[in-house]
Amino acid sequence: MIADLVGAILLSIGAGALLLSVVAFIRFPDALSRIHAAGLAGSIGFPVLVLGLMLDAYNVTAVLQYAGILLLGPVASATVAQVVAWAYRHRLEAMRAARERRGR
Amino acid sequence: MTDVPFYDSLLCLVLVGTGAGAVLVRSPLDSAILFGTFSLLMAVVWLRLGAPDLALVEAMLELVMILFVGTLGLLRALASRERPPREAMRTTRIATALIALPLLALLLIVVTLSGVGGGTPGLAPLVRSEIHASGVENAVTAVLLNFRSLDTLLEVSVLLLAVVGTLFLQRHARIQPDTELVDVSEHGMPALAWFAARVAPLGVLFTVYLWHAGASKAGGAFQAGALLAGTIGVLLMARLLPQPDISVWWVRALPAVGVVAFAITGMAMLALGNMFLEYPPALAHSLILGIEAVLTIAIGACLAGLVAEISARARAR
Repeated sequence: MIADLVGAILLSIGAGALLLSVVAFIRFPDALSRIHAAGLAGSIGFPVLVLGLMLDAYNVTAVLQYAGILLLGPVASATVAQVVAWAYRHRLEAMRAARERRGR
Repeated sequence: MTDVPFYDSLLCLVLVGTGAGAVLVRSPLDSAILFGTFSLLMAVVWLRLGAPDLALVEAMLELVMILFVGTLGLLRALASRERPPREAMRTTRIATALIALPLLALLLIVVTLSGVGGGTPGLAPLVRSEIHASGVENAVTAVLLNFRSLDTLLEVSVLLLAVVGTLFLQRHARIQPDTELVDVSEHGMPALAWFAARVAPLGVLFTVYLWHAGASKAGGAFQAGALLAGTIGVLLMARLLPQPDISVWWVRALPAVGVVAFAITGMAMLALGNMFLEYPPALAHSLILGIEAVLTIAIGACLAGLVAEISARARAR
């Protein structure tokens, strides 16, 4: 009963954070601030959501699987953020180089 | 002809018209819009045929497609200029809304009319009563790999066709990419390499798990294959795997093994005196697991092939 209640509260917080993150992702102007918005989903929304699901899980295997997701999620999103930021920077540099070539 | 109502014939005519238009029109955006209209009408046809669940699926697919095209339009606007012009963004939004809203309304009407859950029971009781003969415990796997395995064979063939078509167009039609691709592995991405080396074994482990779980719970060849492709994709991006060389015969053959193994199994059933793809209940379990194993590899190879083709294009610039 209490686990259900806490689970429901955690699910609501997680879902709210995800919604906020999505709105920010759409509204923010460039790639880097969008990564920042996605970070909210990865650091609060997603783990809290999984924690809430864990409380509702019906057996040990499911809890372990959720724990695996909980561990993998942040690592994956951190790596993806690195890759996207790298590609963005690379592109900015390429554009700057092209502009300089044209200026000359 | 007298028993065909006027509106149904009109519907069919417009359906054929929009379908032909979607194929014949040159601009991808026009084609997508025509396809959207086609799909909307198709949903109405499903409703007329008394299949509200298919109409729902059609409309859902369409919604996703419209959102996807809308996003693509925005992305293109973003790529062409630093800041997309306000009007272009507004036009894209209005167009998306104009097409998406009727679909949403249709969805609501369908849901209200059909009373999802309270309507017809569908085929679920039939599947439940026959599942003991299928060789697996999971209803979805039983339907996909046994009761309706012909559909699945065709689905896998469609996937293979998509891969063949993409490879052919990429290599011979000189299609200009819409957006600039960046090869993230060009200067070495330490974080990506670190992540790929650690996540790849997990990916393979989970692929095997999903394949095996398909017999008793959610899982199966499609999920396992997608995960395998993701794992290969990450390894390709981190350059821990070499770019697959398409001139090697087995690299080309790999995406096709699923269809071939599936069809051979089906024909072997003919030799046993059964129908095409009709498994004897005693063998069904091992046959299904075997086919799913080959399908996992084939689906993984198909999807990974698409990823590899894109990254090859990024590297070629």
